[in-house]
Formats: sequence, structure tokens, C-alpha cells
Amino acid sequence: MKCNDMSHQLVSLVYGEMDTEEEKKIQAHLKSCPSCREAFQELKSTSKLLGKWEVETPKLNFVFVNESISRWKTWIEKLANLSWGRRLAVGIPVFAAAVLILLAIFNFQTEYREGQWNVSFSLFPGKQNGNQEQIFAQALEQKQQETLLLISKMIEDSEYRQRRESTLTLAKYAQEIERQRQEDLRIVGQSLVGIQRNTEGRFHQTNDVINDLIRLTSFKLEKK
Amino acid sequence: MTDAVLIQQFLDGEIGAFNTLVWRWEKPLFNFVYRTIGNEETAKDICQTTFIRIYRELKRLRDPDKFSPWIYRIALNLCRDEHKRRKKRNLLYFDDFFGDQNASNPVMQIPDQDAKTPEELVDHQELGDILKRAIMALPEEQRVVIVMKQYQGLKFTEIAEILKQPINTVKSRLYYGLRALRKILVDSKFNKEVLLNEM
Repeated sequence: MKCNDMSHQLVSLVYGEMDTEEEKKIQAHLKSCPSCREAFQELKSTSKLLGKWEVETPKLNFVFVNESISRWKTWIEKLANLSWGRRLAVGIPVFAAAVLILLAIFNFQTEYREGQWNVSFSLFPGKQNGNQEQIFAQALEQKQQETLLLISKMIEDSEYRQRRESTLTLAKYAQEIERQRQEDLRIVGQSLVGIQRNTEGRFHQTNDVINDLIRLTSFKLEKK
Repeated sequence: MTDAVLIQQFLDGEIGAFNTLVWRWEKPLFNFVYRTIGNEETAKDICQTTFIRIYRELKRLRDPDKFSPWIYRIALNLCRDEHKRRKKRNLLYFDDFFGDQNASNPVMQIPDQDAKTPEELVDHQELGDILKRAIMALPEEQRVVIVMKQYQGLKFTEIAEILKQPINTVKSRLYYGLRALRKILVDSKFNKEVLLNEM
């Protein structure tokens, strides 16, 4: 065993990372080689001395909580990871769109005219209309008149419906009364017919009785 | 409950599982970062940044069983970034540095030994300070391997995976780092006799 190649084996032996067979060989060599034995002793004592350096660990108190990253932060981090070129390519249009939107919001206009709502966006402030209040007043008055007309029309329609219903109801009553009258007349007529037949029957009976009496009386006179 | 189980629970929406993972790892991670960078406040910041990064990127970890090397790798990269930043601003690196601040190797400035006896100098805390300064004097690649092996108890295979280096490279760095460390301590103005006794 060459002493020049012993460095790896010596450190393995010092730190106990050697299999039994190889350790026996090394131990045997150390017994016969003073320089290697001295080198081994020096390494071992240095290692032992190093063990006297003790470190007191301070309280670190690391505690992790669930990380909640806002969507904005995620976007910002993604943007930060982009190259400068891509940042400009993304950032400039976004910035321009944001500026346009803000301008549009600040110059947002709504207008009600002739029964219609008009909405307008403009990049630059438009001219202020001095008659805007007058227009609103006129529109309001017009709306009031339209409302009045609508109400009167509704009243007319209601009256017409009521009249119509009344007329229909009266017509129904008249029809009903006529029907009842006809019925009564029919009954009366039937009754009179009945009475007449009855009377004729009696008359014929009476007539027959009288005729019988007359014949009887005539017969008796003839016999005498 | 293994790290992989906690990771899966966290990915399923349980924030409590992630906190359990943090509380499990905050001490070893702080020890690693502090021993690598040498400043307590900076170490706290780096630990916090590491956990935040893990919180945000845990979904990308394909194999939850590789969480350990992954977390060390993140922390180590942050330590390197911090070192570059300080170097750029020409900031001091240690919080307990004293002596000639303009000295080329400030770590070698040991307190005046006449004021105390050797036995008093080998006070536990002072010994720790000395060892700390000696380790900070090492090149970064040796220091990181020593910290991972000596203090984090990682195996050579794990260190190799974190650093993305061959195992033999890791062992070489450890070997030469320990030798350099010994030389620093022996060559320092510290009482050699006391130091050698400790060693």
C-alpha cells in the first residue's frame, strides 16, 4: 500500500466510513508505517478538537402561514419576470387603454331628449350647453301633457266600456221579460182553450139532456 | 414521520406539515450556515431565505427523498452569494473579529496572551472562537466539506451529492482542509503547548 494514496483512506478511517475488511488492511499498514500513523493521529486529534466548537442555536421561530397572493400581485410578479422588451410590449398598450378609459369616464355624458336617452363618450371635454335646463323643463312639460292625455283617454275608454256593459245588461233583461211574457200568454191561451173545451163539453151534455127531456115530453103528449 | 411524508402532506395543502419540516431543520441548517459564514445575523437571514425558497419551490423537487441535499445546496448557494456580496462591498466577514482590522489575515490576531494564563485562555468559549476563526481562514471549498462532515455528520456520498463533486474530491478537500487547519492553529500566536494538549 502506497503512502501517497492514503489520504482518502485516512479520512474515511477517522470518520468511521470504512468497511471492516478495508479497515483491517489500513490498521495493519498504520502499525508498520510511522509517517502514516502520525498523519492519522494528527487528523484524528484535529477532528477531536474541532468538536469543541459548540454553537448555540438562537430561537428562530419560523412559522409559515398560507400564502394568499392577490391576483394583482400575481400579475405584477409575472410582469416582473418578463424581459424589458416584453414589458414595454405589454405595458404600453395597457397604459394607453387605461388612459383612454379614464378620459372617457371623466367625459361621460348622458342626455334625455324627445323621449330618448342619449349616451356619449368623448376624449375631450365637450362644450357646455347653457340651454340644457330649459330643454329638460320643456321635456318635462311635454311629458306631463302626454301623461294627462293618456289619463283622459283612459277615462274615456272606461266610460265607454261601462256604457256598453249597461246597454248589454238592459238588452238581456228586456229579452228575458219578453220571453216571460210570451210564456205567460201561452199558458193563458192554453188555459182558455181548456176552459172552452170544457164548456163546450158541458153544453153538449146539457143539450143532450134537454133533448132527451124534450123527446120524452113529446112522446108522453102523443100518447095522451 | 419522514421528510418525504411531510413534503407530500404540504403539497396536498397542509401548511402545518411544512412548519414541522421547518422546525425539524432550522437548527441543523442554522448550524451549517453559521459555521460556513461566521456571522449569526447573516446566518439567520440566510436560513429564513432558504426556507422561503423551499416553500416556493418545493413543488419542483422531483424526489422528496433528496430533500436533505437539496436544502443544503440552496443554503450553500445563498452563503456563496452573501460572500460575493460582502466581498464586493469590502465588508468584514466575522462578527467577533477584533485586533487589527486592516491585517491581511485577521483571523490570526489572537488576544494578548500576557493578560491571561494559558489555562484561562483555553476557556471553552475562547477555544470555540479560535477554532471558528481558524475554520474561517480556510478556503471555502475545504471549509464547507469540514463543516458538513464534522458538524453536520453527513456521509461522503451525501456531501458529494450536495456539492456535485466526486467522492474522492470530497475526501481530498477534507484531508487537506484538516491539515491546513492544524497548521493554522499550530502556527498561530496561541500557546502551542496548551493547544497541542487539547489536540
